[in-house]
Amino acid sequence: MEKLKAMALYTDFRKELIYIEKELENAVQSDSPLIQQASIHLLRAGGKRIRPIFVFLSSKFGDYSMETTAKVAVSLELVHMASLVHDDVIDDSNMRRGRKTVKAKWDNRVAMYTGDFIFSRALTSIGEIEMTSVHRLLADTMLEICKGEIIQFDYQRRTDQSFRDYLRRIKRKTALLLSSSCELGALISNADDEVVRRLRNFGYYAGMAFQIVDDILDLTSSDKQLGKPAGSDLLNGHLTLPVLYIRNEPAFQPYLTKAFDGTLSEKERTEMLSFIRESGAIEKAHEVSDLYLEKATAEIRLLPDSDAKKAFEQVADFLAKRTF
Amino acid sequence: MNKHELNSIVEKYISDLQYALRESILKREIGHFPVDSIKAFFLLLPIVNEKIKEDKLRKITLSVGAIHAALDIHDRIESAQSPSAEQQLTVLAGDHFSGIHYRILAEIGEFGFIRELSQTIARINEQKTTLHHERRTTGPILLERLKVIESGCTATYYKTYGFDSYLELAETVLTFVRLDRMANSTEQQAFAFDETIIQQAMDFLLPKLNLELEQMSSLDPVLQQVIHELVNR
Repeated sequence: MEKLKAMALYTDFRKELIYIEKELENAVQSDSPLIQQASIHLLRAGGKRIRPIFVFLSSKFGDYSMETTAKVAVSLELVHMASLVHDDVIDDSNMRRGRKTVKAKWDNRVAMYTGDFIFSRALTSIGEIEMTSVHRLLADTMLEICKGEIIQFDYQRRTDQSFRDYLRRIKRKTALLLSSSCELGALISNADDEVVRRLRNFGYYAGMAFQIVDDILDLTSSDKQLGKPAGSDLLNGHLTLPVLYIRNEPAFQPYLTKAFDGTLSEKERTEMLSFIRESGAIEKAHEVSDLYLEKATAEIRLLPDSDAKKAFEQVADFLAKRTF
Repeated sequence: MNKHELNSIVEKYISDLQYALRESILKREIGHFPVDSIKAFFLLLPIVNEKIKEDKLRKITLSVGAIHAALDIHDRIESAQSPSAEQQLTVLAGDHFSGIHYRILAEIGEFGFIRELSQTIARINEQKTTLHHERRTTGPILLERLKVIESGCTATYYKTYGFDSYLELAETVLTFVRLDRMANSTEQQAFAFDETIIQQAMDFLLPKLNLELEQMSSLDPVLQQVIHELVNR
């Protein structure tokens, strides 16, 4: 049912999404059969294409051009894809979205080169846009995302993290790229400064909500729904919002210790997930996500009325209620 | 120019590059990363030889140095093993360096070079992937692939900014240096090939190398001397 709702939502952007998929496939064409296979393998694993949608919708608040907007949208999706391939090497992940990761299907080195290749294609695509503001924003965003990953590494397997640390981490991990997707879309269509600011804020708040829900789903979904083991964040040493609420509970601590040192058995993983689901932490995390979503919606309400505004409201609603 | 002055220029460039790429957690965890001083030398070659003092070119060479560092450090990732903490950070270090290369070019609005260089980076990764998976190859093919990997970014820089006359020399020497390392270095190499293939590649390259060394008369004598030392090490 949830997927159907999302599909209905995506029907509104059907033309743009078809165009984007085609452009993404074109972008990863390669003289190396292996790189091409690996890139197509990634593309076909799907993804919600949230970033391209945000770029498209935002650009509709100014002088919209599908071709120009697509260059930015493709670039952002490629940056995201490149970072996922490298993340899988860092996390030693074998499955993503129900498919083998590039590092598992081939090896770490192929994943590294594929990620670097895709990143270069992102720059080729956005290089067509001759606006310094666009490039500065994307470059700063990419560096901040990377900085976030480095900080996440530093915090790996540490239980002494504050809520603020967590929020800072997800800001860099997810919210910044969504915020920049909105801002870049608005910038390339020369939207008003006030509109650019509101869209940037919307992307940021929606991104925060999106990541919190993602972190919740990692604990509440089945392995099959996730396409990887539920609780992977914990198994990889990453403390997420629901766990922050219960990390000090004596009954939970043994699970946390074992998850972090890699000794958690399959049975214990199931018990740990049940514990979290029944602890009330999920509901508390949802409250935080809802707060961010309210802020996102408030920004949207102040934008000029348009079909794009309505679509953004639908997107916000989808992000809040998604179960996959 | 004397050799001391040249060394100072290269050292200053390397120090500026390391400063541009600095990141506190990376520095704490994996220490100072090495900058390839030979690639640095060839990036600086035209501006040193022609005594060009243009800030924009200085920034562009830093950007190319950053992407060299990014691509080189990713070669250190082990193929099959679960990554150690150092390997995990090595992945991130490369991504960070790569972001720095883009930010430098974004700051100075070098859109054309962003496009050209990105296409070269794509080609380098294609060649690396092929080399990584290629169990059997021939000397000439290995040579062509190494030429792209070792000198692709430098060549793109030369072509974009009108330094084409240095192109063949840089391509030949940088490829030679890499082949020589593959043949003689005790350090672990990113790509391992049978020594007969490396020798075959070397046999193909040497006549061209000798020709390039004979045609360096337009270079400052100190630069010529350094290049001779590089290939005779």
